[in-house]
Amino acid sequence: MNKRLEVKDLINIGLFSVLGFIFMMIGSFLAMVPVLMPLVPFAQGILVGPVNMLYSTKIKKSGMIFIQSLLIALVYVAMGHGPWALLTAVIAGIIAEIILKSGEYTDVNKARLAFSIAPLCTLGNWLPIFISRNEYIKQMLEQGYKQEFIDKMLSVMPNWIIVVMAIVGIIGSYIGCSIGMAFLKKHFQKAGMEK
Amino acid sequence: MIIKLDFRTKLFMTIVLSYVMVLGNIQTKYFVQAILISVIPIVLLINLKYKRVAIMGTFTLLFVYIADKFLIRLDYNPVGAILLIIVMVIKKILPAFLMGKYTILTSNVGESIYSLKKMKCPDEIAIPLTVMVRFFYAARVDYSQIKKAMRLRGLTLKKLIKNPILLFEYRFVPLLMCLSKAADDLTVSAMTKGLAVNQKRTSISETYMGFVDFVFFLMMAWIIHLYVRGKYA
Amino acid sequence: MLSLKDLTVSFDGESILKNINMIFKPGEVTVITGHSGTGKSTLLKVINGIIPEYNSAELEGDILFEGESLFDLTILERSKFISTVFQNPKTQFYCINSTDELAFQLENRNIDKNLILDKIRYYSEVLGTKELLDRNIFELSGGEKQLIAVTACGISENEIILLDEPSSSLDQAAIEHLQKAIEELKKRKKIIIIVEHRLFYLKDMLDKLCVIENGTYKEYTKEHFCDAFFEQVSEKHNLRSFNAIFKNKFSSRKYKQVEVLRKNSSDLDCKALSCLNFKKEYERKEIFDFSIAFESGINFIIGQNGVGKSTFINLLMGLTRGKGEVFYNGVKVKKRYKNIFAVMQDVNYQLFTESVWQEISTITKDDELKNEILRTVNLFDKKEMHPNSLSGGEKQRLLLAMSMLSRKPIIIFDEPTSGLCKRQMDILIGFLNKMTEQGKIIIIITHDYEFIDRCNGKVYEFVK
Repeated sequence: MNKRLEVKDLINIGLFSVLGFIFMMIGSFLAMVPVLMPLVPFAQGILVGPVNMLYSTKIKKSGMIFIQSLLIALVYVAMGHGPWALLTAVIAGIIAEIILKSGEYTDVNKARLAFSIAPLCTLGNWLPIFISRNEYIKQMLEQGYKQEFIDKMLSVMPNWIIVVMAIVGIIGSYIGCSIGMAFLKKHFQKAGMEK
Repeated sequence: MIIKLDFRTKLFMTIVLSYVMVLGNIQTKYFVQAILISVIPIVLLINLKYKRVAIMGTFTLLFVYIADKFLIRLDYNPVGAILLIIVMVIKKILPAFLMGKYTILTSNVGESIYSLKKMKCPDEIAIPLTVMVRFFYAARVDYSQIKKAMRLRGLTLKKLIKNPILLFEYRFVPLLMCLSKAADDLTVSAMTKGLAVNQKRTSISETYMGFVDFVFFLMMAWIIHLYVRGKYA
Repeated sequence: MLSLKDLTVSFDGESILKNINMIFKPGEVTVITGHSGTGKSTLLKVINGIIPEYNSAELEGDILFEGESLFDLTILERSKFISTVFQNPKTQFYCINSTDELAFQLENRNIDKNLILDKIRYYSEVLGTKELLDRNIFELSGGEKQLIAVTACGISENEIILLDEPSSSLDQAAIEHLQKAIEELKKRKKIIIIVEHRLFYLKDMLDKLCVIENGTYKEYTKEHFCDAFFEQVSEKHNLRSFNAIFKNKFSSRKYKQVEVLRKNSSDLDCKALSCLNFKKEYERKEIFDFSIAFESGINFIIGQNGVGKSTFINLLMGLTRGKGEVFYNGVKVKKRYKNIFAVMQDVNYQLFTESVWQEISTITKDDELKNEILRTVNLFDKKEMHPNSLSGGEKQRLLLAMSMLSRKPIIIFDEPTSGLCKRQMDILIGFLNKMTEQGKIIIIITHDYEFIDRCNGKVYEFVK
């Protein structure tokens, strides 16, 4: 079998990248309430999981998750979120590819695992918040603010929260993918649309 | 005069703004320049008559600059701290967001893809990007049709809110089915029209970098210069 | 010259087309017709290479073009001389901008930009599609989309042009335009093969007619063609009419022109369903502002594209914002969806659950009734199947079953005959008559005059 990506694969990548992006956007509306911000990756994961599980049935070659992650990140870059997501997309994409490949692109459980990691491609979008806050604090120190005040500010949003976000993101995606597997069984297999 | 920029210029500006404004300390060191930079995307937006976005951007910008001055004088309280962080973040991210909005609003697909191809972007990226925009429209049309159909069947939000998974299923499974079928049809159609991966191809939307692009590149160089000076000098 | 030699196509050992021998000559229009599911579209797919490259099937025999076998060529290679217009106008476009779409095929052939633009200019002029250039394809009507697809075939300058039910979602004016465009391509000595149910618009340019039935086919050539012959053939194979039907034919029955911009343009008393002071504006332009009333039985709404028919029923169903009140038997209807069932044009959007049985269970809990209705619409064997694996006609019958079960008094159809063969249309008409007996108010938007002609019912023509 030809291992290079063909037109059919590329069009599917396009479709599922845009769907992934749309559901990520819907999930990020949660950030309207700033306190809920750390839960955004969780919500995104649940929403994007079913889409990705359908996508997994179309993947028979390497590179498809990687390109999807990269494309979602690229759209965010073009929208002005900064180049940070590219970094996380490359990392998440490669890890997901390796997992999927280990299942020979047929193992559903491996696919679920791969797509639990893949949505972390947008984690980079949160980095500016942390970076810019830390930068700001440095500037405040220079301007003569007290360390005490700054420590208190830090306590509201500590740096380790990004790790928490990554973990809840993985959990959310895992749940989402499980829902997706149920949908696949209930609908797509039955309708003969899973090739 | 209407300023028309090449897609590459726009993308470059978006990335520069999003990088420099977030990582740099231009806002604190060079206040006037920071305002000037923030105004660039707004001017561009007004230039192409995207007035609503421009006005909203201006107001948000004014608001965060004022709120910043006000909040930082307050004594510590958790709510104030959160608000301060939000204000700081918006202050840094907004210019890039506006620039990004400008990029998305004003770029047509043909030209963008042509630009990307000139930057040696392989078909593995270019073809999915083209169809992404197309499917974005298709998803919007399909979704609104499905919502209508659900309403007619009495499957209203009110009825289904108690069972969010069912709501999700009714809304999105038909959408995924339609789009997945559409992807198959599109593949077939594109193949009969001679689309293949990494073949030599022309484009009717050729674009060139002009004098205006050069001016904006110079502007970006100036911003990068400010960034470097502010940070390391 | 394109020829099929002893072509047999089978899916999983079961042959759908057997020993087909056909010859297609340049400058000839061949129409292939027959009932749904007989393999007409399959034949086109074998010619343009989708079968076996994309959908698998077993092929025997050969297809020759200029003496060379097509079976050795990929879709890509065949795309240099074969163009296809697909049935669904919505999913065959790769680009968003119509001019980009027209250029797409030549861009893929690495042809110089200026030459492509010249060809686009020339063919859009010749085929009368100039005003469609540089538009957002998603904002074009179905008819305009198909015309873009036909123009793209011209621009490609391919020798073979395949059209798969191009008229299925088109209105009368668009069909006339399509007809002219195809004639123009015929003049340019193309081999044109059209798979179609609606035949009236092809009658005058037809060179050969093939009817596919039970895996084999009957071929009729030009020398036989005359009115009596067409009548006989359509009788024999149960085909749709070859004669164009015009709206003045309906003047013998209750026919009414409704001026949608004039208030109170209809007599409103003693009607089962009245829509009062319906008013809708879009971008500060008035679309309609009128009142109308319907009696029980079949009511057709016809009128040109853009006159506001769809907007009107959307407002009636409460799916769009606008002014107006609806009264059913004199009582004001508040929740529209409780009284109205709709069968929309694209039935794919309207099925939500995982099986036919579940789908119908959203309407009623009574198992007896469900079984009975499924037998009536001939879907009983398929009750465990996923609604999306049904064919278009079956999906529509499922929705018909649901509308009959729902006890809702008002049923709205949007273009119910698009893509239906004659047999399916007859079945639909049977159900419509049954609903009429039940006293339902049926409102049908359609461009299909043949369908109106075969039904009883009032006709309302919307005019500006």
